[in-house]
Amino acid sequence: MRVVFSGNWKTAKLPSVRSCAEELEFHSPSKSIEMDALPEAWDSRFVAFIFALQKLLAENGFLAKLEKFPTELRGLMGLAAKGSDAERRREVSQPQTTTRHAQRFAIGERVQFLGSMVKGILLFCQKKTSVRGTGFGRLLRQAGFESLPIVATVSFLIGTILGFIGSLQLERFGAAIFVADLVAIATVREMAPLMTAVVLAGRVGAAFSATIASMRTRGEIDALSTFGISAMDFLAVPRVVAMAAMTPLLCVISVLVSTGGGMAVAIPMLNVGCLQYVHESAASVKFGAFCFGIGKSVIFALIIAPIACRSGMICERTADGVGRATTRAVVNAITAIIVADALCDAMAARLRI
Amino acid sequence: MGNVESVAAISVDGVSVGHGGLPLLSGVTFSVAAGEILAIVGKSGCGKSTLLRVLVGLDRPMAGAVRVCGMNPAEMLRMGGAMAAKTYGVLFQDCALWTSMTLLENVLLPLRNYSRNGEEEIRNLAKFKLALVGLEGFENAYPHEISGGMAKRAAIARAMALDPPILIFDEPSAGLDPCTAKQIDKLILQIRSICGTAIVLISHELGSIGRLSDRVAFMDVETKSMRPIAKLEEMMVTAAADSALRDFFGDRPTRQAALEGFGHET
Repeated sequence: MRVVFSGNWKTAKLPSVRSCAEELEFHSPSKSIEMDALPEAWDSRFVAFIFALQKLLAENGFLAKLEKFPTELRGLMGLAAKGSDAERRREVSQPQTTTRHAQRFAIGERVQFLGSMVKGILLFCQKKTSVRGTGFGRLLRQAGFESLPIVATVSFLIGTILGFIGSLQLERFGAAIFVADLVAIATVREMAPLMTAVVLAGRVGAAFSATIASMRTRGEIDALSTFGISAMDFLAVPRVVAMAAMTPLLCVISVLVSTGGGMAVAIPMLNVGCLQYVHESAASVKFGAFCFGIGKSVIFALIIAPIACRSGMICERTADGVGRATTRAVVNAITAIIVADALCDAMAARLRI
Repeated sequence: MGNVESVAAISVDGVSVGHGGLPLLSGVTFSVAAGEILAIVGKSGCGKSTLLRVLVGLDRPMAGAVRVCGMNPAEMLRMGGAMAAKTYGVLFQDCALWTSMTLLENVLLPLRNYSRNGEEEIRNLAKFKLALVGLEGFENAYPHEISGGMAKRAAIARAMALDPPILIFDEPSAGLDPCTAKQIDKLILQIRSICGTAIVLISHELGSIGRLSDRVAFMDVETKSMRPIAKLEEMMVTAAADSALRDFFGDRPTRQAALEGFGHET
């Protein structure tokens, strides 16, 4: 049988390869189909169509002969038909994914990570680490000072929200002044550490993870290793220490700003005096509660930073991998913070802090 | 600078490398003496860069043993890496300069880490290393601000920071224009002749290999094995009877022309 392709194959809507092949197989008396092409115009879409058609026919035992095709077209077909390394590639890359998968979920690896991080932090604090002068100041600034505006904004708004809800409810009982207590206790114990941690997880944790992940994709971590500089000591530990140092400071600022937020709502709404409000706030917060809040913020920092660093260090060496590492860092960190917060509160309730 | 005459700088014995349990190369055996340049050549995907990772201890071989100055590189890295850093310097294929640091800081970091000298002395040393590769005046540039050829040279300066007796270069002139590539090759030859460094060079550029190598190890992607090590001229002769070599080095006239070209260069 002889088939002729004619017309404009550049702009026309192409038929489905499968239906075309079925039709040819149905009508062809023999297993050999001679094809001839006299298209007015064609581009690689046409070649791709013929290539797929020929392959499909060959699968069903039909032979498409293309001797009459224009030389140029046959050249392209020949180039595409030449064997590829695809088989070998697949063979190589598949087991790799499984090992990577296994590696990521291995508990032993996590324990090892934690162990070397604790060791690294101890060495860092004793200044015995082999890595010296590594832009620690820059990390402190990134985790602390640069996060200040967003932490302050969020805290102020949380303060106003608490103040507003409290005012509406407490005014009905004639206990308006207790808004100060409500805002102070809620922020010191809960909202300030939690909101600071969430903001830092999104802002700083993501940045840590993305930085380390892209260093890994670019081979910079391999370069560090060949100089015997461990990524843990050089990249992760300073970040964890910087975050653990700055988070409590931000938390204190967050408490102060939230109180200001509560005051900004309560004073005009309830006719409370400014000094009275401050006095009431200060009297309501016990030293234990204050320590509890600050302690929680340190714990949260010690959760966010290692999660972010680890997620960067195990990232796949692709652009997608960097994106996934960052997402993983933020999502895991926020979830872990909330779980840790619940545990801390349960413990505090038991210990009557 | 380094003195490793007693032991071979690098010895590789029956090594297999690969990914996820599937070997890319097996039975690789060679050794490199001090002051020698060995070129590891082969088609893309034959496992050259994987072999490099094993040579520098980033991966462990699937079989066989690697000794760098008589020691196991993976073990050296595991033990803290000071030994490894002082034994070999690596130029990675894409340079892998630390992008958040200036060129000077890139060279300084290994020095700071391992040298007990004062800050001023270390800085002068780092500046000198950059000047050696012709990057004087670029100390405060960041890796993204310089050209590809300059980045390669900066990475060479970093690899040489601790005066290691062995340098391992992965495609030092890949992706560079012929002029810059020649400049880099010249630099490598000068380093070898002045410092007596043993150099392992991974490359698939015939010009570079011809200009630089003392001996050549050819990795065959089909048989996943290594051809016997030989001088490039000898390998060109063998190529007449070996289809894999012929594929790589070209047909007879090409090889002839290439050989004559190298004669003038080296």
